[in-house]
Amino acid sequence: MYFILRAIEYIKKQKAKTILLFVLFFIIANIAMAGLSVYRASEVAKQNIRTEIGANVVYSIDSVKLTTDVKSGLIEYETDASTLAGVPLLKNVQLLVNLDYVKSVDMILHLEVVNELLEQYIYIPTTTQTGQGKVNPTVETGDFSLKTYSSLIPTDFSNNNATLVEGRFANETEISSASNVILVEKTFADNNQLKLGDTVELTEFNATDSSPISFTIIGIYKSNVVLDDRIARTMSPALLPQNQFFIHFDAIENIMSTPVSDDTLLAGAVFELEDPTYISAFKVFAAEKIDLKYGLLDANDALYNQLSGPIDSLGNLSGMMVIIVMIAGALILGLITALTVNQRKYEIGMLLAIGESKLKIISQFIVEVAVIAVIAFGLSVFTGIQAGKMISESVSMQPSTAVVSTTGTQSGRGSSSKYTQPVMTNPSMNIDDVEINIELDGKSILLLLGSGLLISIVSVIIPALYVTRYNPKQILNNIG
Amino acid sequence: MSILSLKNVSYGYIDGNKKRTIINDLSYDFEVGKFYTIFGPSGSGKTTLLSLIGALEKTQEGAILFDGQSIESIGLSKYRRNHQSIVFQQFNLLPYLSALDNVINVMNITNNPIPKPYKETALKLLNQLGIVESKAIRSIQKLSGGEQQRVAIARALATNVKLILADEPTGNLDTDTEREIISIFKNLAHDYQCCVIVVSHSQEVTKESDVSLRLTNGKLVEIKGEKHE
Repeated sequence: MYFILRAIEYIKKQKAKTILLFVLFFIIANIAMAGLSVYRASEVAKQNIRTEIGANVVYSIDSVKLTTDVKSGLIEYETDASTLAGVPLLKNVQLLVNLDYVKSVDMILHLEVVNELLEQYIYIPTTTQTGQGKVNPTVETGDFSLKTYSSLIPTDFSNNNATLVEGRFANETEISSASNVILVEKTFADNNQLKLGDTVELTEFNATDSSPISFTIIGIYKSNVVLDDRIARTMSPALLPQNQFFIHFDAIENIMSTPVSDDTLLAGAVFELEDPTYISAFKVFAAEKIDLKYGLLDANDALYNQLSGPIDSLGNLSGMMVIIVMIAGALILGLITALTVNQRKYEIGMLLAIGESKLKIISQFIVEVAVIAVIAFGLSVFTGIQAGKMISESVSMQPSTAVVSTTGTQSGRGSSSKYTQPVMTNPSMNIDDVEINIELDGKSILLLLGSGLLISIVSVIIPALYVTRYNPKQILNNIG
Repeated sequence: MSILSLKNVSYGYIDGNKKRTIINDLSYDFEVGKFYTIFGPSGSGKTTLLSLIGALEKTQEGAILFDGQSIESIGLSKYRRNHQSIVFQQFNLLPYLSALDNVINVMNITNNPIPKPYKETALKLLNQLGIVESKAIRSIQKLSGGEQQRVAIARALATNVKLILADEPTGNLDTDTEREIISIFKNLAHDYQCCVIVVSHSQEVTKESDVSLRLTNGKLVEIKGEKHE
């Protein structure tokens, strides 16, 4: 193993070459490390955004496509939406409950109801001159709406669109027995002097031969949704959050005139996935199961794209940087080490002449390069990450607020509450909240440093093999 | 006793369209305990012959036998490592190692048994050749030409081989140092029962050798006591 000592002696005595090689390794490794750390950070940041936005995928009617197709005459205005391909029928929802991806599913039905004795909440516009008080839509609607949930906690509550202030959700006994228990909004409860344990009688809107059904209030919630004036003024008052009541999905049949079947059209379903990273896979799975012609699977993609856009650019830039640096670095390292080895022909010839094996000569060169590379790469782990932080801070990460306005309850055709958005998806996230943590995992560091070391070693081996293929006399003569 | 035999060795190269033979069907036996010099005009092939004997390159025809075994069958690298040592005119020492480390280096390369610890053995050897410890630990580049040649000889001796080859070992040295180096080679042959083969232009070296060989027309001719140019 004396070749290792020879290598160490060479490094110590040939200070200029050692420093040159060290600086070169250090610079290349720093740029690559900075690029990689920014790239990894952007990947993590995108995952964080996805996690922040949530692992929910909302399955609803694609109202935009539906409206477009109605306008262009592809489908009749009067067409029953439940006959359209890909809409969230109960059977379609059930097809998508793949346990590999789905943790729970919240099936949402809207049913407009009436009760002349209860006071309806009236929206008062805050900014516009027209429509003080109740603004009637062009079609007749119910006074209130029932919204179902099938998960333990309704999605509106889990995504903070509503907060339970009193009481509870339906328990297992009530769910299994399809009990008529209901959650009402606090403003509505206050206006009507209702409290927990009180009952409200509701009748399905526009249903023939329907009689009032009594529901016991088990919870009072507060809506956190802030409606845009323009949307609030045009939407059906029954769909205002204050006029919405939550009942369990299994209890809807108690009031609905038509029985729930496989072909029942839901307002939508919210699939809570096991992990936010499953979203893409789940969408692929869903597309394989159902022709989503008029169905839409949305994981708050607009907000995600808006938030991840600048991070994506940063990630792509840094990814390119890593690739360019690795290629350029490999070439530079290759040339430098090849030149260094070439300058040492005399030494190779001399070592061969005194009987040293080719393997040990090459090993010596490898040890020399590896020692310098490991020290330079080791230091660059710290400095490269710092450089990565500086790059990410300086690249345009200007604070901005991303709001995707899917609030409200846009109707597919403006007439039927069945086609409204199943949940109020109104998350707004400030990009300041999206933290870019510059840190690299051990695997990435090892991969990068391993690649660098491998390139260095290969760039030593090739010229060394080239030289050692000659006999000692040829090498020494050429030097002479 | 013959330690090295050249059997019909030939070697040449192509010069333009012509093949030029340097060594021509040469046969000769070298014995232990003798100090040989090979001389001849420039370009006669002295260094080439030494390179063939030292396995720095392969013979084109014929065979070189060490202790009766072809050096090719021993393996050229192994032969260089364990059976012979060469002292070069340009010393060929590793510039980044000290004199001591140059000697220890070959001790680690050879498979021959060397008394341990190597450092002590190497220092003793260097001391015998006039390199004291304070100089032995210096960088090789800080030593004079004569001192470097002594280190090169110490390196050759350090592997405990019986065949010592030298290519113009005194070519870069002054007369006094030349005499000292010749004396060392003589002692190696006579006291340590080595076979020492020196290629030299120097009459001084040839005069002191046991056997002088002139290389003429690719063949060795024994000329003992004859004055030569």
